Amino acid sequence: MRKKLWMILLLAAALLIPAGRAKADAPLLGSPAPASDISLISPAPGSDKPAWYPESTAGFQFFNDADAPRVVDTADLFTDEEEAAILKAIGEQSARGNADIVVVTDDNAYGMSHQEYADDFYDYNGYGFGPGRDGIVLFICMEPGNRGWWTSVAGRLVPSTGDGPVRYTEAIANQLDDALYGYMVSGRYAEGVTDWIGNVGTWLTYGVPFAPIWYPTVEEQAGWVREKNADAPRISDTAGWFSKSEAKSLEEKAAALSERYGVDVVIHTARSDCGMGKNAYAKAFYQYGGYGLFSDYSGVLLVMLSGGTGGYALYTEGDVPSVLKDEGSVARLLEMSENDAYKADSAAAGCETYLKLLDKALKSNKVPHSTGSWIMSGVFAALAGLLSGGVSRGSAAASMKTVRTAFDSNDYLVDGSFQVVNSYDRFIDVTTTRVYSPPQQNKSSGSGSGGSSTYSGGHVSSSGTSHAGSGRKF
Amino acid sequence: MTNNVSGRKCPNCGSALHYDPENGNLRCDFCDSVFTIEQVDAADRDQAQQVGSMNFTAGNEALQNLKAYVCQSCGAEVVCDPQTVSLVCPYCGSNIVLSDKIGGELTPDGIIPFAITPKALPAAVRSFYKGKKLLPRNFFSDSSIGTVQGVYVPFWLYDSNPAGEIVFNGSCDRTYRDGDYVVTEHQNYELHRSIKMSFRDIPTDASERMEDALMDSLEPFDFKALKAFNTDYLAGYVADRWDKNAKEMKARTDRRVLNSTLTIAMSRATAGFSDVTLSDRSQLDMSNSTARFVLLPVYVFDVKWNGEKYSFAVNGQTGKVVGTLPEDAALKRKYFWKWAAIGAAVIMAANWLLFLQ
Repeated sequence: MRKKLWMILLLAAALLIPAGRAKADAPLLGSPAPASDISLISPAPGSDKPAWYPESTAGFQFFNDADAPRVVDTADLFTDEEEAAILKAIGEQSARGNADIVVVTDDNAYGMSHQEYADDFYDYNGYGFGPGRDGIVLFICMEPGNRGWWTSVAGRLVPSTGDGPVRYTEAIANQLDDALYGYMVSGRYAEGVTDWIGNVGTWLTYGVPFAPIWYPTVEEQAGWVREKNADAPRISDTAGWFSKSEAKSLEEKAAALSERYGVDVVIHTARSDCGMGKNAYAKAFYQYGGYGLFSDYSGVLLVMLSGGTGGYALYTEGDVPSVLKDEGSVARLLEMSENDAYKADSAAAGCETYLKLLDKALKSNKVPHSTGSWIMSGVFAALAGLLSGGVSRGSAAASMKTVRTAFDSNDYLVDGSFQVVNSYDRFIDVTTTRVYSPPQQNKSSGSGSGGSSTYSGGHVSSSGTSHAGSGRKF
Repeated sequence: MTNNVSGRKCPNCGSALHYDPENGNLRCDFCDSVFTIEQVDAADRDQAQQVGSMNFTAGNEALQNLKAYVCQSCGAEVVCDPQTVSLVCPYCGSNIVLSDKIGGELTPDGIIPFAITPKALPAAVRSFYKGKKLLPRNFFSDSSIGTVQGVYVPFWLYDSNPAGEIVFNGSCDRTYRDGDYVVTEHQNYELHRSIKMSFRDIPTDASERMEDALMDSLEPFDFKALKAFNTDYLAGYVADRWDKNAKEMKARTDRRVLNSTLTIAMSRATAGFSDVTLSDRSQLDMSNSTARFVLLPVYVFDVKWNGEKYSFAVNGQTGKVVGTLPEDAALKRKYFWKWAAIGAAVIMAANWLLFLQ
């Protein structure tokens, strides 16, 4: 691959114009650019900049180059077949998401940070769709001792300046980087890049990188009008936890509760929250699923997740008892349901308990406590009682004995008589403890899969363009 | 052997006079006359009445350590132990002050007269019983209070001026950043403090007959009310002379002073250091002290209940009552379970209201 690039560069250098002239003659921002622009920019002899870097950045004019290669594998990480597959994926996803997607690898960062390399590569080589040059570039650096990647976005995708619904927020950056990290550390570069391109395409299309199948696209979200779906199943078992008979039984009980209390009762199981967070996932499922009764969409949705960190989310909307909005009560309700599920080794049994407790909550606005809670409370109260009895008896017994030998003579100290005539401190020794605790220099985000991302919500590159981005070392 | 006895008689009727703590005068119980001490002194001078010198003969060998005095009022012979300097004639109730015992070094440097009357004692004792939850319920009905005796108890009043170098061990921490490391230095020091301070009027009872802890518990006395000694204050009360000398009692006082000196020095002279402890290298001079002999007013009485005797004392100046009361075992159990039930109920109710509702 490297050989191929150098051949192009040599050919361009021999036949065409010097790089400086090419830049001076480059079309204005947004205008079509020559297909071979990337090859027109060649490094000056002995340059410490990469081949694609302009000889001079003064007066540089941005351009869009639809034909610039979207995969530049200078580090030679991909086979030709892999590169072809990546190019194909880029073609599909960039068209789907209406934003440029570029991958560049290099085994030399030329003294630049990963962020600078990615930003400059994108800016100086005509990438990006439309006048805002919307797009995203993934730079993989294989320089020994400096391995890592940086994802740089431009145009409408920059959170601080972009005006579109899809922006590269820190949460999105973490999700994309988390998914990529495993591939990078295990050396599965082509596989990881292909997966990353798919995730980017999903993000550009749906606004979230791992949107579930029922999730509306960004365009659909923009024109979305909330409607009730009377046919939506009250038991949505995407994770496949229930048998048919269990699902039917639960469906009947949920429907009965819905009818009795005028509150939509829904249970949804899924393998993951698709990186959206449990509560956001539950809300999206409830609203986009057409759930809710009456004009205020009253309802209670229980989401049970098996993948990722697992867990539960209880989403309520409209006119529901206040106890279902109380964190402590909800936690108790879910805990008791989960305990029964574990006891019976059946998710359906846990849901049966949940529906029983929900019945009581909807009826009396109360969530009962488990027997264990009452026992614990009783034990605690008994211990506190014994302590109280002991202290009280001790205090009463002490009041019976008023005869005590005097211990000191504080009451007889003459006011102002205490004087320190002479004073000095003699140093004896010192014990030193050193705890490794490096100061936080960069804003780093947590990660679910290992490593941590450095994130920038908005910065200006050397060319003067706004970018956002994130990256990790591996 | 001759013994000097002095008694005060009413200038009007010749009956015995008693010191009245309510107004500091001498009162005649027979004719209700009230005289100041100065008035009685003047009357005595006018009558040029001699304080009699009586003959005393030891009765037998067992009584050799006891002395007998003849009451000037009724002529009865009264026997008392060597420490007693004032007593009441058991036959006619006259006050007898044994003035031969209070001369020289035995003369008190001061006295705090009784300010609480015996009439006020029942109320003070009732107040003392009040709130004593474990006191047996029949303690009031089945107990009997013995004779209440007003006693001028001999005390040494010490002025102590401790000085010297106290050495403490202490430490302080310093934390700073060194590159990627947070460094904490725990520095240990020896703190040398040369200090001095003064204590005034530390009372220490000088009577063998009085329990030390009981007398300690009567503190505080207001020594601003200390008056020059006059035998007239003794009228109607028993008074003892000291039988434990000032040197002997100094060790006990020094312990109190030492405890205070170390505590005060540690709290006031070691700011900025933590984990401060006393080093055994401290040197404190406790020799700079003086003592005065004073008489302090104390009522003593016993309460008999259930075959046991419980000793009580009352500060004759402030009315403070001290003593050890019996505890009712059944009441003790009941009290424990009562408060255990209340405590458990409160916690359970709070639990229910806050968490289980």
